[in-house]
Amino acid sequence: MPLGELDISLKDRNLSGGSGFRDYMEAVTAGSDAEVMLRVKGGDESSFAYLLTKHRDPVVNYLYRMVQNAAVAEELAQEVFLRVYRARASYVPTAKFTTWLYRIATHVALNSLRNGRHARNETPLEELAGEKARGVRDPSPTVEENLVAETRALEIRRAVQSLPDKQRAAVILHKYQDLDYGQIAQSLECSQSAVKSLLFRAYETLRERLAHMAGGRS
Amino acid sequence: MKCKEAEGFLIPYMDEKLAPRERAEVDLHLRACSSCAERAKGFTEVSGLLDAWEGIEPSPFFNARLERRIEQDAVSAGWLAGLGSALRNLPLGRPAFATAMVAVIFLAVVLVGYSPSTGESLAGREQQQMVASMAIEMDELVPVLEDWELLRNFEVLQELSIASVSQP
Repeated sequence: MPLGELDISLKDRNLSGGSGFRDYMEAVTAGSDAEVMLRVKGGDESSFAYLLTKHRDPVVNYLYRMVQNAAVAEELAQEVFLRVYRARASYVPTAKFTTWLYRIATHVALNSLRNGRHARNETPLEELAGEKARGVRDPSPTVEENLVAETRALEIRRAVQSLPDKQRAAVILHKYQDLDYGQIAQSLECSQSAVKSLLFRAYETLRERLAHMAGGRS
Repeated sequence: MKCKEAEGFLIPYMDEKLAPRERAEVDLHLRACSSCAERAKGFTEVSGLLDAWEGIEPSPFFNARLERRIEQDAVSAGWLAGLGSALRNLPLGRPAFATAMVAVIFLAVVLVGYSPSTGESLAGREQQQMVASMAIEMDELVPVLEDWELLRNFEVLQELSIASVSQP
């Protein structure tokens, strides 16, 4: 985002001091959302609202694909943004804001999966079709087409759900959140080569599990 | 390029993130190795299948709920900060406060260290020791009680037998 769009002024953001200005310059280098986060750090609540609006849906969907339960995903997303808000005072833009955000989200998701928090409210995969009502797309296919699409989606979700947590996170960050290997590595707190290895193993498992669907896809 | 080496390149190959020279090397390997070629094709197909997984839309109350949680968080943070400052502003000097804290911790350790189960086990042990010593004493007495000569000359028993004879 261009600087002008956010009406950034050093005076407004209490960044006229030496370290503040250094933070600001680092933020400019690291990416525009980091700049906005620095405004949040400076006490600008509307900047937090901007970040929330921009990242809410992707974060909710990342968590949804991780835990495969819409209600739990929302609860976890609340936790993520609450953590972001709490951490505003100590925020230092050392990486892209998105990387930092997904690192928090991944931590929250993996903790939830480890503690089995989502299991209490787990929606059976068969019932997930009901969540389609809140789906993003709104196609108008026939009943048969709908049924086929739902069955395929169910199988895909099952295949992804069968992956180990870290492989699942790597695949989702790679496929749906569009993070590069470096960002995924930082989010998962591992090396880039480890990320490529996680992705290779995950895609290999998915290839085997979804082999019967691959040929018929158009 | 061998299969093992090619495996490390298949994901970036699918993502088209390889440098032209690396891509050419992988292409060369895939033309020669049907197994790796099949795997690379499979990865691309899986990626296509994953496109079918639609996302969801957050509830319309998401922002309002978050706002409420942030407010609650601020209230509890304010309460904790108040408690902290109240403790810091106690009319005690720091050494006195530290001493008091040490005393409280010491007391807690003593109280936790003392438990009824320990007392019970002590009482039980004393009882066991007493039973054991009684058994030893009985062992010493049995040979004496079995010695008829000794018992016959025992003064108390002699008196008892006289009394029973003198009774009408």
